[in-house]
Amino acid sequence: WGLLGRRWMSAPAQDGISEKEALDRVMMIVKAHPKVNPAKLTQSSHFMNDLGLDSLDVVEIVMGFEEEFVLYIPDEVADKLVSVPAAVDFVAKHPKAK
Amino acid sequence: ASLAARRDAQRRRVCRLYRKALHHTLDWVIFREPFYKEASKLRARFDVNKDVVDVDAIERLIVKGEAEFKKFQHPEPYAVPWSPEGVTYARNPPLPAEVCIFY
Repeated sequence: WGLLGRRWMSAPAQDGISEKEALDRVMMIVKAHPKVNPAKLTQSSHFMNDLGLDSLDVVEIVMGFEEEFVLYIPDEVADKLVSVPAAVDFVAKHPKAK
Repeated sequence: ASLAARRDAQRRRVCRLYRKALHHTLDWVIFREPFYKEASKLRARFDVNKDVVDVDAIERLIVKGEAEFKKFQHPEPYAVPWSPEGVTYARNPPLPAEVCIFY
């Protein structure tokens, strides 16, 4: 009777991750980039303005997000992830973020 | 004005080319340490042309880069399973809420 009413063969509910965990992991990934100065990194850093990163560095960081959270980020969306709050927002709202 | 727009579009093209090149490099070189080496080499190649200002020269470089990428891209790039290029895309779509399976 455990199967009664449970849709166990369909896709399970994907909840994503909490905001706090998303923030922690995003900060960890940005810190791991060799060109980032961890002292300057805050919760609301903009990659190009505050941290002085190049657009190619931003591409590398976004690729880090894709690998860490096992996400598929299309090009148009990846163009917009240019700051820590934007990235945290995107990851926390994504239903399939691991 | 339109020059800035052209530069912007070129910046976006370069970023997308770099992104795809990085992903396909990871597909060819599956292990992490050689991948970091190859990624550094790729980044160095991109950085050589960092300070080019002339729009037409940049255009030519981008076209050359995209042609080279077409030659060296991986035939079966890895995609996240649930993504549109992935393996499990639309495999088990969630049932509508009113359907319940009774056994």
